[in-house]
Amino acid sequence: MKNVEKFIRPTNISELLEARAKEENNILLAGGTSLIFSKDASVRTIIDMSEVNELKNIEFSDGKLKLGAMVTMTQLRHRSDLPVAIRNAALSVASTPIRNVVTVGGEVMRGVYWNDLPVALMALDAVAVFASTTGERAMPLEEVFSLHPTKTIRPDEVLTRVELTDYMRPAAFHKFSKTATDYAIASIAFSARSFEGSTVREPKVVVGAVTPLPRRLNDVERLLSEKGESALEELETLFSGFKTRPDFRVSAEYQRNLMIVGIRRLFRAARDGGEE
Amino acid sequence: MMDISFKVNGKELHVSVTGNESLLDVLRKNGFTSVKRGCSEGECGACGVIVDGVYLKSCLMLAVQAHGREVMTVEALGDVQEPHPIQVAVVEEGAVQCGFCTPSRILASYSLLQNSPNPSDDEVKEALDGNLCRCTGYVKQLSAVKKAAELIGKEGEA
Ligand SMILES: Cc1cc2nc3c(=O)[nH]c(=O)nc-3n(C[C@H](O)[C@H](O)[C@H](O)COP(=O)(O)OP(=O)(O)OC[C@H]3O[C@@H](n4cnc5c(N)ncnc54)[C@H](O)[C@@H]3O)c2cc1C
Ligand code: FES
Ligand code: FES
Repeated sequence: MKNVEKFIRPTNISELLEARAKEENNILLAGGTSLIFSKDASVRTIIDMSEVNELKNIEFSDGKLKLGAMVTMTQLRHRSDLPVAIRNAALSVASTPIRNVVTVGGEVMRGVYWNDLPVALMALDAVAVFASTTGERAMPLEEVFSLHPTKTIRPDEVLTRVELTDYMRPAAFHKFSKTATDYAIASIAFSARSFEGSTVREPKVVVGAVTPLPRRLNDVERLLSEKGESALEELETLFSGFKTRPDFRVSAEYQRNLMIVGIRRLFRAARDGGEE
Repeated sequence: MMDISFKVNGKELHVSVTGNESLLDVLRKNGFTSVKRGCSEGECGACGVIVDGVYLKSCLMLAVQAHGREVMTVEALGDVQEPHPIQVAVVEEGAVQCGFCTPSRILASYSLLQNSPNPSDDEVKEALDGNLCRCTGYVKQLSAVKKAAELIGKEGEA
């Protein structure tokens, strides 16, 4: 970003959206923890969102949980009224001084394999809300990640918040890594509408790091819906052909095994309140 | 280049920066060498500072982001003549050897104790999870934070 000529700091959403629409070759700055490494010489204007207070709210309204794009991982981590899966995913991000600045928007829009938060959000059916001067557009995270997020957002848009509807349903998240602060080898999230005995309704299974972007595992969900807990012992067959993202730290076989073990653990953790 | 200004330990600093310079680059160039450069990529934690009350890694912050902000480095806490209780505790507990990781870790401890004056062991571990040390190991570092909490508590009573 050596050719940046202008740094602006809008103080409300309408100023932000106008700047986004009209500033030449602009880039949105959230926590900045990945932009600091950007080598993009075409960027002329940095739009710093740190003073747009509307983006910093955690809100419960219209039956929804709304997480502003500038909410930090530390904020999520310390809110006891949020789903455990989200708090644990926030805590999985790097270390305290990084969590203090990394934002919900940065986690969703960065689109690297080690982003933990979107895995948990996607398992809870989160919806991204993009805004521009012409209005708002809602898109399920699953769709946001059908391509790289930088391709699903339009150049004049800003991700303003993420919304969750049935957010208190049973759910759990775990980042599997060599150390607490290392990048994930696998991030796994599980949620369900409800558990009844050994059966489960509307299970959602999302994995990250074993794939380049978070991915829902529809065939695992189907098997669990049909057979309930006993399906956990039949997962091997579903993963035998699963193509993983190559990882110099572990083999593909290890990644597949980790998913199987992780799904079993998280199914039970979700049923038992979210903590393992 | 962009002209920016911000405060470091209460004093105004005016500098011209490029869009790819980090706050760490600018602080060190301007003599704040207690802010250490270990890795430049967010792993080691030697470059920690407090910006508007938030403890963060200055190698991960663009210099322009600091415009209008207040930056605090360890120099603001105390010195050899008048050390802050955290600095006293670090020395008394033997939680320092080469000293490279120490300024940033003291700020991490300060930030924790501002929000949580009597932290649990788990809170201390979490607060220091971004600070690597190649010398002392971590046990003494944890006990130094507990001791500092005690010293600050006593100061408050006096
Ligand atoms: C050493 C290190 C270790 C890390 N480990 C982990 C880890 O284990 N797990 C993990 O999940 N993350 C980890 N991270 C964080 C991750 O790599 C990214 O740095 C982080 O997700 C970016 O968040 P940010 O708020 O700093 O975004 P920024 O760096 O400011 O922005 C990231 C990108 O998103 C865009 N963007 C940001 N907000 C919006 C918005 N509201 N609308 C549209 N576009 C937007 C920006 O333009 C930019 O392209 C680590 C980072 C470091 C440096
Ligand atoms: S220099 Fe290592 S974390 Fe900043
Ligand atoms: S005292 Fe030497 S690195 Fe910590």
